[in-house]
Amino acid sequence: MSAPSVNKGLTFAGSPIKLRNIVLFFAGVGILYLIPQFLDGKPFELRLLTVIFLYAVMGQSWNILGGYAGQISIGHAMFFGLGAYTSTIAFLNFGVNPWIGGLLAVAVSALAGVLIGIPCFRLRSHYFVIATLVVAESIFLIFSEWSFVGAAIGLELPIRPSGWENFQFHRNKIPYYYIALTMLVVVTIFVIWMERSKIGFVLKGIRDDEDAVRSLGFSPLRYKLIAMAFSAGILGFCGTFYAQYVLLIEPPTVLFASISVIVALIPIFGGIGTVAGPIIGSVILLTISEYSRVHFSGSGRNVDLLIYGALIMVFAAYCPGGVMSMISSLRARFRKGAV
Amino acid sequence: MNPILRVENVSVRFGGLQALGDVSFAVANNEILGVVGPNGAGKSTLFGVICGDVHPDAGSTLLAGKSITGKSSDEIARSGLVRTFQTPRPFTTMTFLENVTLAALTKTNDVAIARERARLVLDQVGLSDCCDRPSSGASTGQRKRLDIARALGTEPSVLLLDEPLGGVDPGSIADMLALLKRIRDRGVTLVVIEHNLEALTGIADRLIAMTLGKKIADGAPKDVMSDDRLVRAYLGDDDAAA
Repeated sequence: MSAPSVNKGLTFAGSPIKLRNIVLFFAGVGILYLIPQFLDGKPFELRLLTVIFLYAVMGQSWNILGGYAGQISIGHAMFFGLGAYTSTIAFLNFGVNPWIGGLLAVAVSALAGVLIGIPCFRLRSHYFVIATLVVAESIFLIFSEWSFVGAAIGLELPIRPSGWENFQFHRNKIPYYYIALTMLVVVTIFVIWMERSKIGFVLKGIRDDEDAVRSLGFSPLRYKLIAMAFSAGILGFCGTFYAQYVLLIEPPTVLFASISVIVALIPIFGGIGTVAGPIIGSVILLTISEYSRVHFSGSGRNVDLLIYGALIMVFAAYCPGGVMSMISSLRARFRKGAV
Repeated sequence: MNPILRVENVSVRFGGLQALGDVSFAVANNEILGVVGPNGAGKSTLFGVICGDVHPDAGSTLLAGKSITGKSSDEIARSGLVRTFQTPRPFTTMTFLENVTLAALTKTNDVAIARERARLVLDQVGLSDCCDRPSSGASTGQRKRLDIARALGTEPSVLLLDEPLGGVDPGSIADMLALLKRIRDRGVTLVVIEHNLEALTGIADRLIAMTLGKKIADGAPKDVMSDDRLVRAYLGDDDAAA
């Protein structure tokens, strides 16, 4: 077959992209960068948005493996925790700057993802899900007992002067907002690229029918490991961010199963296998979580989980594809109506 | 004969069942070889062995003179031998074009080039009107063609087709046969399992007949179709005698 000519037009990673979408994306990002100017003296709203961005990034990272490749993990807290511990231990024991520690966290989490993926990807469907849960729980138990990482007490980061060089901001938390937002923008652009690239096509093929992908000449294991490395690496940096934000890490806050569940729930609720899904899921679920935590005081944690549960049941019954699928079907109906 | 594919003394046993017993044959370059036999004859197991899904207990397979025995199915596909499935398996969350683009990405990392190649292939199989349609809504005939298009997207040298006419409406069979001939004319060797013997006889250069895991006949379609052993395999000894 001779090399065909390629249609010229606006493309990204070889696939057509609408100028309108690019303009909307960057306009939205621009507005988000301006928002802190209006949040002076509003620490709750600032924290809420920072946490929404962080969890949206975590949701995007889960979505790479769970949404695009169809490999449902409920053990992703392990990569978040490994990232948090890597940069913290590197700083406490070797004086490594947290920014460099963040890159180390990406490498360690990605490597852990590959090493865990090699045996776990031999399993399919429910068995893979159970394997991720078991591995994550094992890591949780090991870190809870291991004195080098502070065991159950965890590790505390010493307070350093506020500043970008120390990745610590005490009175004015706005830089955390910018860092979280930048993480979200970078990761979202990366996911848009990945979705349209060869990797994205193969991952979606694996999600639909792994054996059919293999029959065409692709190694599903290789691509699942790539997805795992991307997914785990991104979560590793999220762990570093969290450690620098809270300055205290312990197994229940960075390695616990509930983190894995929430990280999976965000894209599932927003729209699994879509770019916007994790962002929408994070906005809705984290807003509910944070407001219920504040308004229901000590019992807030349980209330937000109750609301999560109710929402998930409603969506599972009436809109299993999440908010994005609901938007798509509404759009289709609107278009039909317009015709 | 210049064989591109050679199967030598292949045997497969599933527990107490001898699925294939000492099967040997060769496929010439640019040939259409039909594989016929009743259900349970071992045809699909034979395909499984050739494309690496089933590992034989004995024997070997060679593609263009190189052993592919024991290789994984993705390695074999990368070597140029690709299969379609008895029940087509489209990637249902993708459009027709995306299905074939994915296949074409085995030959390039550039999605734009793969997409254009996919358009050409869809045009070749008569699905150019369906490019942007979701494959989940495809009819059986369209699924069969899409399966073939996807395999062609990988630019194979040998194509194993598992019942390409199964489920295709009678009015479209002639078109499908013409398509298979065109594919061969483009230099692709075809090995076809098919139960529609009349249709297969019309396009195959040669047939092999199987029953109970053994090859019982190999030769020109007319000769194989009139072979008593094949008739007995389909009808049983009593009916064949009658």
